[in-house]
Amino acid sequence: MRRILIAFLLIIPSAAWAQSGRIRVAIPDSLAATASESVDVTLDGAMLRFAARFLSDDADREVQDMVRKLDGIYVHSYEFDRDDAYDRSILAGVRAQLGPAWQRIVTVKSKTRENVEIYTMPNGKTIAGLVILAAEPRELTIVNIVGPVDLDKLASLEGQFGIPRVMKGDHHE
Amino acid sequence: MATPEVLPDDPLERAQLGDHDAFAALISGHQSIVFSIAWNFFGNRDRAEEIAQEVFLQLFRNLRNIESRQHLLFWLRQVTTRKCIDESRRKVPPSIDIMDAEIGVAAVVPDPFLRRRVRRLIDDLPPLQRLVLTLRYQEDLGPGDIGEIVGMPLNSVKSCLHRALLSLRRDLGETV
Amino acid sequence: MNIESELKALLQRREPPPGFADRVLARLEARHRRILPRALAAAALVLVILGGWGVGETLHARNELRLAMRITAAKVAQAQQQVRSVSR
Repeated sequence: MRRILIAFLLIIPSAAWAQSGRIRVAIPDSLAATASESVDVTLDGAMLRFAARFLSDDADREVQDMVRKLDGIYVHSYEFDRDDAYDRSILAGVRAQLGPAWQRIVTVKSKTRENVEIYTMPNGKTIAGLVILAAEPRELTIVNIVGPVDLDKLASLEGQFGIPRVMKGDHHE
Repeated sequence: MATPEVLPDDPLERAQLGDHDAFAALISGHQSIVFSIAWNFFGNRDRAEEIAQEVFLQLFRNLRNIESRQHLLFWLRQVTTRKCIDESRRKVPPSIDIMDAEIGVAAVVPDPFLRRRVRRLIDDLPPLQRLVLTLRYQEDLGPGDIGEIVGMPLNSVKSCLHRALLSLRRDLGETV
Repeated sequence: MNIESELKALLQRREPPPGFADRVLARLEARHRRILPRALAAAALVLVILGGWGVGETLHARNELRLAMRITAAKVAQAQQQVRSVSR
């Protein structure tokens, strides 16, 4: 009985989180230790607003406009030196939290490239949350963004980070 | 390293001073060269990207040794070809997934099956012949420049190129 | 058939998948991040709470944000590109 109660109490926070657009990502410590490269970013509330204030380059302005409206950005990305070094149940654990309020809008499966799933939590005409699961044999990336995200605008930011617009015309000989 | 008050215009110089944005510009300006050499060698997009990433990570560590844009070009071609050769010696080359292989985009494709056949024949060439062919036809380099990059005498490069073309012509002559 | 023109067409340069530069920079920044002591991250949070911060802490937070957005944008763009290539 106690076990059922404890499990129930653990599920409630996750369920409440998932309703808010936030998900819980259970990454074992051993995973980060075995990764050849790892990125763990948790930015929310005051810390997120603090970081956004110091985006000052031209290329950062679009990021700043987007980030200003967000409540949290959580990115976990790991690269490994060998195939299948991580437990796929980590992804299953995330998917289990994505109840009816979430919609899977993209599924890309490839034998030779990344498998990508993108979920959003609609909130009227905007979205309240975004989850990206990207899995390759040697790389695992889980992204959770809480707040209104414009996917097209987000994709358009790709390739602009750190690349000054004046350099767009630079070309190789 | 102290950052000067006025940053130079050249992205190479700015990257050497620690400007990550300038380094990103260098990557963008040269990524197709590096990626393509690796892709044309392995015929596999994932391996080509892996090699290409390693090349630019190595470039970052060696930026201070790059003397000019011309030197940068030479360095990138040389390091990429060496990594391709090293990698091919370590692993058994995977079979090419023909569904994943891009056959090359041209305004007019006279015979897509012939092109596919040529691609397979290139992939079957010995690694050095494949590399020399790539540097000749992808990068439009002469035998002298190719020799400096791969570390071979001029006559050896000419001989290697000749053998590669002869091999392709012979194999194509059997089916065409 | 002109084999040289076939070779030029086959062996022409091609771009890597979108987001290549971002992926290289993300690996660079991940390596640099491992060098930073965890205490610095904790110190940054304490300073935010107390209302004061130094140059190192602000750069760290800003770089964290850039890194997160870079990875996210690269994944979304890659998914878009793969969907488009299948739809063609």
